[in-house]
Amino acid sequence: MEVPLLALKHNAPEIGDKLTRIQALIDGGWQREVVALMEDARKTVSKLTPRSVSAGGMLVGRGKRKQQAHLADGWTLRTIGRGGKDRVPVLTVVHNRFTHDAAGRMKDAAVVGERFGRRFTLTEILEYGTMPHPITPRRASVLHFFTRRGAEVYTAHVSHPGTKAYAMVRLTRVLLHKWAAALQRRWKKKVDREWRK
Amino acid sequence: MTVPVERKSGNIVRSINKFIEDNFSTPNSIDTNFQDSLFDNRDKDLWLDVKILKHGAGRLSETMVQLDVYSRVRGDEDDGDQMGADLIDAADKLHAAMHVDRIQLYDFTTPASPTPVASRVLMVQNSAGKFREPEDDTDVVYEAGVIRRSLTYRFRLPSDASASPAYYD
Repeated sequence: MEVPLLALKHNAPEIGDKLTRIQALIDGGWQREVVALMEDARKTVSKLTPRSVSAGGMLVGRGKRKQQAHLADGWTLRTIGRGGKDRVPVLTVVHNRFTHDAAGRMKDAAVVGERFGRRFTLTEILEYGTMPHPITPRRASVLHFFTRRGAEVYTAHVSHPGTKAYAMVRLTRVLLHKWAAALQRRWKKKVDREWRK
Repeated sequence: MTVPVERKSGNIVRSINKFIEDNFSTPNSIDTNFQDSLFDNRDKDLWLDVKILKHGAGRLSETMVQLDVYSRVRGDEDDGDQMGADLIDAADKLHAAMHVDRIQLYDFTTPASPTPVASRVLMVQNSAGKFREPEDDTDVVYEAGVIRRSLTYRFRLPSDASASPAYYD
């Protein structure tokens, strides 16, 4: 007479071993490569950001710490969840520390104007460009500046030819998507190989 | 060795310009400025400005184009677009015009009479992989007297999209 029971042999320990090995693989390489990828993105966006050749850049900081800096030098990598013991990076952000914080909020000191209740910084202006526009004094009666050749100018009106749209963030984002897709394909192969072992 | 007509950057951006002009500007009476720094917008209330951000289609990369829709805002007593309604409508029409599967490529060897290149098209696809959708869509409000909606599109040839082709066919 047949024993009245149902039995199924399962391979849970084997699957557990494989998952542990894949976890070690991810911890050891994937996270490091994702951070490296974002570092490449930071370098690229910095390279695509224009640098003024005549001026020393913009004033950043407050009080005695105020100094000249180029917007291109402000691109910063911020990894959240990194550093502490057993902490893994959960989010990596590239932001311009001169104009925005890591959450994307504009810094008050970097705001160069406000229109229709919305503020903007130099980063937005360079990203999307401007059409030709007049510049007139706001707080003084005339504009005062030095030309690239050092000549001192007083004038009541300047016709600005407009600013090119440098699209540094959008062009970097397109590259980042490509790099991330390639990384994903490479790692899928690695994980598949580990799973089949 | 000559570059095939469908891979020439000039033909690609001009085909994009032609597409915009045929499908967006004329039916909607919106003047379009294609990278002309002398474009005079003083008497216009609504216009489109086309900026080429990157040439790359036909070279295993992509062509990126920024389409800026401007709408004039005047003082309170005037009939300008204070609420931005005209801008929203124009941006929607532009989005609808660009929501296509393919854009025909033309050979502009004779600029006055471009000829369609048989079975050669451009695709509209953003970097996240979505077809017919813009790469970026942002309200830009920092210019005096106007409001702007900036749409960025990414164009590729089908050959650019294949994984790793040794040659373009």
